Amino acid sequence: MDRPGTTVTSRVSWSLPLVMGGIFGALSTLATIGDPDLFWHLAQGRQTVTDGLARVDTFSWSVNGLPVLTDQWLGQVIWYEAYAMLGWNGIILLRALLVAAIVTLIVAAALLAQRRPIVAAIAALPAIALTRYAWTERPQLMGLCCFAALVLLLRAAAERPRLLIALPGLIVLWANLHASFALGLAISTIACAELWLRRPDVRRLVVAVVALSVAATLLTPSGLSIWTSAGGHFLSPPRVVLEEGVPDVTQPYGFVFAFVVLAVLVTAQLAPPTALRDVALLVPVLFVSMTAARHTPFFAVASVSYLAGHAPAAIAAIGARLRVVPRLPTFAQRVPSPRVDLVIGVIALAAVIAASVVARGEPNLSAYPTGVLSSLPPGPGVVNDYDWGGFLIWYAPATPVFVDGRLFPYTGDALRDYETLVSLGPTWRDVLARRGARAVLVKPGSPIAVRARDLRWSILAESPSFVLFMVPNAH
Amino acid sequence: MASASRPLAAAAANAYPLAVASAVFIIAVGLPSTDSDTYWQLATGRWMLDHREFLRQDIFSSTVAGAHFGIGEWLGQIAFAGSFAAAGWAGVAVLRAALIAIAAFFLTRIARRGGTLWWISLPLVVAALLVSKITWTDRPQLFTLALFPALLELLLSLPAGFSRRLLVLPPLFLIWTDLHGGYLLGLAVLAIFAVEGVITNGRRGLPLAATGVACIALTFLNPAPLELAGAAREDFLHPPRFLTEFLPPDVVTPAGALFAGFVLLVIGSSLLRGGSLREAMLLAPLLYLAFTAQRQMLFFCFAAAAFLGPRLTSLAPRWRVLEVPGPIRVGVAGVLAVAALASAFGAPTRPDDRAYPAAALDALRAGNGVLLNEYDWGGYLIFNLPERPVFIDGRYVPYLGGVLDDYRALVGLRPGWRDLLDKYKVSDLILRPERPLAVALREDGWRVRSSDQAGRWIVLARP
Repeated sequence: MDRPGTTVTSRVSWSLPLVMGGIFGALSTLATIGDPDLFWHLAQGRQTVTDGLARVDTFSWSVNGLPVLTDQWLGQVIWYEAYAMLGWNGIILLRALLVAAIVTLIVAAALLAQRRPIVAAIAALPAIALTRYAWTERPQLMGLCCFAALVLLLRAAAERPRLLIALPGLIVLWANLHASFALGLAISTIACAELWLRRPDVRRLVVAVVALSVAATLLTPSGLSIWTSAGGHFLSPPRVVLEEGVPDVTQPYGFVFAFVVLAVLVTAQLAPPTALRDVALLVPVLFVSMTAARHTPFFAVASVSYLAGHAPAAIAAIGARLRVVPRLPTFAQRVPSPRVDLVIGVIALAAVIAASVVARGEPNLSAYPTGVLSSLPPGPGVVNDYDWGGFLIWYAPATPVFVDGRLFPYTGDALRDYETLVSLGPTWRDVLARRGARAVLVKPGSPIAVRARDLRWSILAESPSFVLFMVPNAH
Repeated sequence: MASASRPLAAAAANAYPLAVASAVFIIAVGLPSTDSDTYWQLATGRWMLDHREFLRQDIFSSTVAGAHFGIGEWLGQIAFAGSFAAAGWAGVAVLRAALIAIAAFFLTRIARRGGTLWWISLPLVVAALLVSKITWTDRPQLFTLALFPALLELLLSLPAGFSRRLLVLPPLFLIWTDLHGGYLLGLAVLAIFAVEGVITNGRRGLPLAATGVACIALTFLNPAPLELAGAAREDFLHPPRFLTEFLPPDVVTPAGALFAGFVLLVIGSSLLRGGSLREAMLLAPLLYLAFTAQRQMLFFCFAAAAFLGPRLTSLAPRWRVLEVPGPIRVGVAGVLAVAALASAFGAPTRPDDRAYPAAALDALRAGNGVLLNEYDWGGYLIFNLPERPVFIDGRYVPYLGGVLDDYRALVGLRPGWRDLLDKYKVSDLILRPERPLAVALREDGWRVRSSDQAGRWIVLARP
């Protein structure tokens, strides 16, 4: 039987990770683009590139001029530059490259703990499947990529602590890409604490790395307020947003997440005890993953290495109790020369690029009110459905939105007024008058649409998926 | 001498569980009834007591009147209705407190397994009970709350091979089957132990397996054996998410955070110390069940307490000296037990009905025709306003597939709402004022017959 602690290879072959990364990166190009938040990220990226970083809102008429978060500025710029260079296929290419990188890092982390490539690949599959739900065209995909890199780095640094030197660089990049850097810093600190306890000879290095990493989070345009977004999401997830909802195991992604958690639970019960560093990584990440649906991939990614190293022992223990000898693949990984890795990497990259170029580039706009664009009145005064805010920011820049997926600028009065309006709260008429709304663009089944139709408000445009009303007596 | 010391040792061993159970009883008996489902459960039980027969069809609503209605919890409903008949709301409170105390007693015994130190087991017990607080409602599910840890304690203490304690299981399941649908979970746990017993002990595991088969057979003696199984299957596969207790665990709430604490402790300590096949077989399915709905979290926490105690104790062996001497334990437990008995006389004689439209009853009584009511208030109206059949209530299953969808379309002002209002011939309604339907009908000239000054409810009638 393998002793999990001794299966760590001194050098990982990147061939299998690159092959799997290339395959999944290419496969990701089959998914059309169209995430509701993509469009306002692109708009913000364009604004940063052309006019510099905007610290106040310029896209809405409800919170216009009020402060906005700038925590994802670099991610937005990169997405926009991809679009500027190659159009929508640039977006697909960037997404495919990020997916390929994530899968590559996940499989590499599995191989660090498991010599047998097939076992490592199987152990990585649940995590890859769960990351599928994060393959969106947003900076958060970059955050997930940074997280996968961090897991691999911490795994490798457990044996070679000098690798931690790369940590502050990763954190500073991450902090400018996406607010999930806070999770990275937290588990880095915990992992460093474990290393500090276990390796007295590297204590100075560990302290320096942690200090530099903390300082690195301040090297962003947001300064100290970079922590606002991360803290807000973690302590008070906006449950009204689907992806911020509680993980639901009756949904496919939730089922995969539950599978991973149960796999870790059963493996921990039946495999030999593991090192404190596994606990230091898995326990805090599991808690974060349980807070919101969008966080579930983190635990799956973090647990890959543990499962790859220990699950075979757990399976063997079950087999022994059942008096069945499980036949696990026994051939060991051969570590090819770096040249082979390089060639395979080039081939994988070429496959991802080729698939992105031939992919259908145009975004899927079936969920958006494309037919309303020519009827939208310019200038402020249109109350729009939350899900369509980003779409309108990009496709109808002359008509500022009332609300959109940026969410946090609207928390408070604007969001409360929006909810009162669309759900026909008792003061909906007062809100309409106070806000000076001129038109309402909503889904036909929403209470305000039904009521407006009852009251025979004039309809400027409509389809089965949207309706645009003119508010009577509006100025 | 030996025979005299044996009861004393038994008393000392049970002193912690008795003390915890007594304390929990004192707390639980002081809580007034608040749950809306209590009312229709009481009304159902009361009807069966009065008519000496099962209530197999709906008699409370205007929308599904005469429709088949499940009787899977008949004994639990009669138990609550009997308590109410005997001592009013105080009787309900005493029954509730007794069931929760039983749960606390067996949970403490579970958590004390393997010589777990009291200062480790007590926080585990308190945390698990706090997680279970969501189910401290006066409904038959309290019987499952009590019987689940009792079953677990019995199964965990069984030796391999035949034991006379196995004979407890068939009658336990015979009663549980008629009390609440949670018996299915009990059967699943029994099956897990039976399979694990056969795997681990071979032939010596067969007596438990045979007992399990007998228990399954006995559950078919329920007047409606498959009704509850069907309902439980639906709850598991398609939890009604519009009900708070069926929402997935939310770890940023207090109960959810405690549940998460159990999950993290189990996984973290198992990573460091390992576990067993039995623990894996038991906790993995219970954890999945807990992930499906908040109301299921407690089962994982109860079972986890059994394994966490010994493991956490092994992490801190140097603190064993803090164990309290036996005579002091027995004394404290005795005092608490007496206090618990005395506290029963202070049980609340009225429910806490602040969440319900109590002041609207007179206005509603004056009306006739079809009343459209808020879902959460259906049970309350069934019990307190029997002359006005409800539109919908917390039984929810009879309303699935038609009335529930129509109710949502109505109160949410979905397209076609006017047709639905006419279809059901709604003459008046009692809703929360912020409901889109209430807002629209007020604007359309429906008369406000009564309203709450605090803005919690409004009664509207057709003009």
